[in-house]
Amino acid sequence: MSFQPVKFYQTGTFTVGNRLLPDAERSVQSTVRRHNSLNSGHRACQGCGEALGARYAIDAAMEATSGQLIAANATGCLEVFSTPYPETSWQIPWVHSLFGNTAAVATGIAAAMRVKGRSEVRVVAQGGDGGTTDIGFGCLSGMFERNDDVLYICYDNGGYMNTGVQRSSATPPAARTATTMAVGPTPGNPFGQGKDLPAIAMAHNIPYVATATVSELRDLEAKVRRAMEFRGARYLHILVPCPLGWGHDSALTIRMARLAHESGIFPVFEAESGEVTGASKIRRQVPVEEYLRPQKRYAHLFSPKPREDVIRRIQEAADKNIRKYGLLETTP
Amino acid sequence: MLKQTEGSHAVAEAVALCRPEVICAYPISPQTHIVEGLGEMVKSGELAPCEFINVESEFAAMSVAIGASAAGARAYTATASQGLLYMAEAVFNAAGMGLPIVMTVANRAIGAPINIWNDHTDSMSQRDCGWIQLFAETNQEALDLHIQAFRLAEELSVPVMVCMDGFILTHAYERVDMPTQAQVDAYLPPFQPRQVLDPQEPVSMGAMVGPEAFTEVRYLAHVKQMQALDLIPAWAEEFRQAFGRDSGGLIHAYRTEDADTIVVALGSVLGTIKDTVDALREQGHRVGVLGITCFRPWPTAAIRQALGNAKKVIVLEKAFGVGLGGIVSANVRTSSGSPDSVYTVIAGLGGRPITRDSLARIFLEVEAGTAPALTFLDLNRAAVDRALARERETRRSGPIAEALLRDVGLVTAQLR
Amino acid sequence: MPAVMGRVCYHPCEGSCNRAQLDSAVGINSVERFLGDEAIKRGWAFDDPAPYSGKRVLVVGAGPSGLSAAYHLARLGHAVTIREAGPMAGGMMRFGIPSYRLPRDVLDAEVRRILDLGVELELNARVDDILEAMADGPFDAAFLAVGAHIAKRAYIPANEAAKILDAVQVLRGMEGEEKPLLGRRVVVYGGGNTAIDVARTAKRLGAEEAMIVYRRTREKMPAHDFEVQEALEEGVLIKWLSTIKQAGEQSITIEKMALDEKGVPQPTGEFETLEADSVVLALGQDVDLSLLSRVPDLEVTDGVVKVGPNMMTSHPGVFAGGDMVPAERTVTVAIGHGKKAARHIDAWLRGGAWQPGEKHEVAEFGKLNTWYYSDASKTVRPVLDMQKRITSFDEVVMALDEGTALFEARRCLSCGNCFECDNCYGVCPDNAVIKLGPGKRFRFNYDYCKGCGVCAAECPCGAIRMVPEEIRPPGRAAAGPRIVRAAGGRGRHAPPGPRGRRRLSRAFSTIGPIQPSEREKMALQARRYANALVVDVAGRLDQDNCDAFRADLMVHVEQSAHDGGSVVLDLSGLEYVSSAGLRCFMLAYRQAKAQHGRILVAALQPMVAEIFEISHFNLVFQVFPTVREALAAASSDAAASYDKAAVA
Repeated sequence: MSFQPVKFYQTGTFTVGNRLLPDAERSVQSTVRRHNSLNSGHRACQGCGEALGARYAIDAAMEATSGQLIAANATGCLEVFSTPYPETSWQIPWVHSLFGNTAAVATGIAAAMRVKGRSEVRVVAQGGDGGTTDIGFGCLSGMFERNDDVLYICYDNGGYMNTGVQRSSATPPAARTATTMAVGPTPGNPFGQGKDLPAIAMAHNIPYVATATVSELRDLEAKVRRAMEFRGARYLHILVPCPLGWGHDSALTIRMARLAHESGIFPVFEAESGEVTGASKIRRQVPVEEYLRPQKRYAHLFSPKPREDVIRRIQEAADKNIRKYGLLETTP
Repeated sequence: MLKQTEGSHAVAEAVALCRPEVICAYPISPQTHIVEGLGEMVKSGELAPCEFINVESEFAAMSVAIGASAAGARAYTATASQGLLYMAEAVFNAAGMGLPIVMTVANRAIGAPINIWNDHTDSMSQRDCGWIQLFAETNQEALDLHIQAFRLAEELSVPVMVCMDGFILTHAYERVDMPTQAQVDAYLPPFQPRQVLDPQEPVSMGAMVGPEAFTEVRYLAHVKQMQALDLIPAWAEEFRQAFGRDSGGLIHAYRTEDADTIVVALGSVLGTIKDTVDALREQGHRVGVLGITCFRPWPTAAIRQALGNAKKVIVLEKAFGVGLGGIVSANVRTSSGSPDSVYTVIAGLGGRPITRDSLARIFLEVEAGTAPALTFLDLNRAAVDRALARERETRRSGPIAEALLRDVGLVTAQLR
Repeated sequence: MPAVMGRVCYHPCEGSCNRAQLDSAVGINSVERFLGDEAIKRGWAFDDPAPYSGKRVLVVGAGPSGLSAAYHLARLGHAVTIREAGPMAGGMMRFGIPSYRLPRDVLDAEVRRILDLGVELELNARVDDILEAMADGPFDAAFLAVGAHIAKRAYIPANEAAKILDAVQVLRGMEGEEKPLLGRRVVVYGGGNTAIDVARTAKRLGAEEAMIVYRRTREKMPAHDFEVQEALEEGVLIKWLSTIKQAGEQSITIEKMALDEKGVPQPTGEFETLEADSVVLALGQDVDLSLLSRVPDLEVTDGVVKVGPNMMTSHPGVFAGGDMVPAERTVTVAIGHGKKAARHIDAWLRGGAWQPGEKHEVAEFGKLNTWYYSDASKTVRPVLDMQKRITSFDEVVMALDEGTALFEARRCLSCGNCFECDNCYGVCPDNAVIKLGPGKRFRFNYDYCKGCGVCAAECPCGAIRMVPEEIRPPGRAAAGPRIVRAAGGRGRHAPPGPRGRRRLSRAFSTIGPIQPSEREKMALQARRYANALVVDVAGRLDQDNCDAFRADLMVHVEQSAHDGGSVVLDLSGLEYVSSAGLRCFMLAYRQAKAQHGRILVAALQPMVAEIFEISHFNLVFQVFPTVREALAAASSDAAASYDKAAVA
């Protein structure tokens, strides 16, 4: 994996900081000189996972590029809550153009930097799962295929939360949204074939693809750092729980991300040139039910009639992830 | 330097002389030859430094241009027809953000029915998107307008669309006078963006604006275009002095001084109209021509003055507002002392030839007062009537276009 | 005495350690021993004591309790004399605990360090009359800790040749030149730790057979299980459910017992004869209270001296602790008594009373987020090999080395006690946690805190607590502390009550102690010009002082901004105003409006002017460049009054 956990400490390397660690091994987020690229005062909801994920990722990218960073942002929560003029939370050059063109805008910025001989300036494109897996998919694929020097970060909260929690192609099966209501014989989002964007990104054979969650900060930072070591198209898919859309207590944002990983629902791994090079192991495995239960979007699986059949299908999908990516320590 | 060359290639060469830094290319006829030409120049190293990016759609083409321009690079792309519509959202966005992108639109009809030939429906569909729209009459003007367009766009921070008729200009081999690099460099200063994404001075671009200021922001976009009404003729004059020829400007008037009837049009059809007018003049008809080079901003004052005392105004348009009539006509009426004397002639849709005979006929009808306010030139009324009859008779009458073509027959469907 | 306690303490702390619920308790005892040994090895000394108080204290008994009291009293600046009846210091640590559990060089080193503080130790100095000794000194106070050295005897019909000893005799004898002679087969009667100590000592003295006879079962045995285990490992035999009926020269007769339904052993009438060269009684000890015989009004119950909560006997100035007062008889308790008594003696000598600090709330396991702790199982201390164990008095349980001690210490979860892991700082989606730097912990910026609670949920050690935000009606002063801290520190506690609804719950605990100076007051200066009152607002106005500010401002508004009267806020000294401060302005504005008065603001610094513009306060308030202009707008009288004052 991207970092070696340091043993023999009160909290290992799982916490944000650790005063027992040498400076170089501490997380960017633990330092007072972190850039706070997405600064206080934004209008995100209580406990917003995306706000957290964005600061984690962009701060790490800023650190990795010594502050030479430009970001393009898709329409969505992140864009809306961070900016309405005349205020902005962004401490970096930042542009929002449209919902579906962020990857292409980033390509343009990268091209401009290249043509001006400013290769030290790196470009990040970022958007939610709707702007990535749905409306921005074409531009994203084009950017991958051309191998433009852009790190695309998808903050996946499994739906169109900005417009009021509608289904996207990243909405998980059985989840209730405003357009996949919890009514009828098969409530919630249907079990489709899914749209595994990290795998699609890998199929483009781009230099680097990784997934991460807001619950594993050091892993996330290491991946951003690693991503910045490459030139060309890179893709980082970060799971960012949404208290509003998922219907969990705002204090549980990080816990939900952790459970998504520990249950196998969301495999955390990295891949180079289309091949998986490492996966973040499950430390304390939990059944998917533990992940599903605190979320109101899955409430219909537990009452009035428990839907064990549906939960079993979700568990099977998680088990498949565990097998596929070797998420358990014992898995060869 | 005089040379005999294809319109597209002439434009490509002119664009190259403007030292574009990022060019985004996506193929669509009849624009394709332009970016092909530029691509070759970049690939060979002839045009450097320049990034030539083969994108996956027109939407991406405009988006890459947006990113490049926002990052301070001189950005260019070209498109046509469906491509312009596919990028429409980004076209508005570029204007809204005030990014000085220059784009060639090789005018072509919009489907369905799919049609690759020339008319102005594509550009007209984007007339209110906030871009400056310049229409070229000839290939010489097309290439000259590009040089002026970059200067105009960058001075005002407004994107500029240079429209040239697809095939009629883009694929026509004509003699053009290609300026030298030194001439262009002297005319077009390096790009000094008003806003730029720069880590040294971080700004946020493209954020939301609420009702408290949206009107003002939009009004300022209007103000910029009003400023362009002064700059365009001034720089056309500067261009004339530097390059020795008249190109660009707001309008071109031809034999309008004493004209009772003035024909207004945009683009390459002006040549045919001028020939027709010359012939009619010889027959004693007092007819003149007013070519509109700058369609957006709409040069109200210049047009009002040019139309002067004309008794009748004929607007010949290669597009129309379905359910309304003429689009250009509607604009002309705002600049005419007597809107009722403005006649609309829709012609050349989907590449239909506009002949001098047909033009002369309709001009005389208007002059005689026998023409209706809205005329579709050379409309096959019988075929239309038969189609309507079919629809009355059969519920499942099938695709209109197919039945209509079966009706008129293959021979008549061929271009005359 | 960490080197002693790291060996002999039964570490009840480990029994309540939260880590036990994760894997196993932190080896607090082993870490303490490591530190104690390090201190001895490296010759660490105590800091200099406090300046001499002029008071003299007599400590009677150099056992753990007396030494502990002497140490603390000396540190507090008092002159301390210890009088010990025996020939050596240490009390039961020396005469009750075998050296294989507590090597004597360790004990000596610990005692030495205490004496190095200036404590005077008189050996073989039995105090027969405490009041006389105090008067002779003279001493201002006394701490009695004479222990319990008189072995309890049980009547056992015995043959004259039978060798019956008691545990105190045996263990004390181990410290002399002549080791006790116990024979080949030794029977120990009793079930406490002392019985175990004697049996194991007998083994080491060469007994082929050491057998403990105990009348109950192993579960009921007062001895600690690990000691029983160690004894069994060493070959000590234990006869459960048995009493000694009779002792002969080379044998004893025991009677089998059976537990009745209440669990009380009852004789069965079944007898057995065992071979025994000697019988050692380990049935508990009594206190020698003779030194107190002349002290009037002394309360003695069940052979021990009664003391108050301040460890003082009913005789003023005479305190007591350790085995001679009613409590569990362990070195741990004895040392604790010494410390506690020292604090009370100190306060008593200074004419006051010592108040123990408020106990912070217990940081239960449920408050922790154990995800963040690495798996780390307890370090096992090495043990001496068996052959050496039963043939020598070498220490059985060995020490941790530096690496393992560090490892063990770092297994601590720091329950309820912020250890600056930076989690709250990192996980706040609103960057509302301010990192104050090493050792200073964190503060919360309530202007940006949205109350999501992620910091509290992700705090590994449960040091953050959410408390409901108080929304008070305008004009009322702030009530009660809003900033609180959870377990583990010197801060104040939140008033008890249910957790607020999350949406209202914005303010929450800080983990850094908030000093009163940080909650700056904003003193409002006011001056009157006719019907207008000019109020100066200076400094920074934010979450920390807005409550105080609002309370003060409201008084002025209520008194002056009514029925045509105006309050002019002179903001020339205001550097910054947060949203919380703006809210105060808004409330004042409403109040003035309701009273038909006016509020005008004047002399804004550029930063404040910008804040006003962004928040559109410039559209609500009448803003004037100078106080003079504001007063002119208030009334001509006010302006005239101002001009007059300016001339004067």
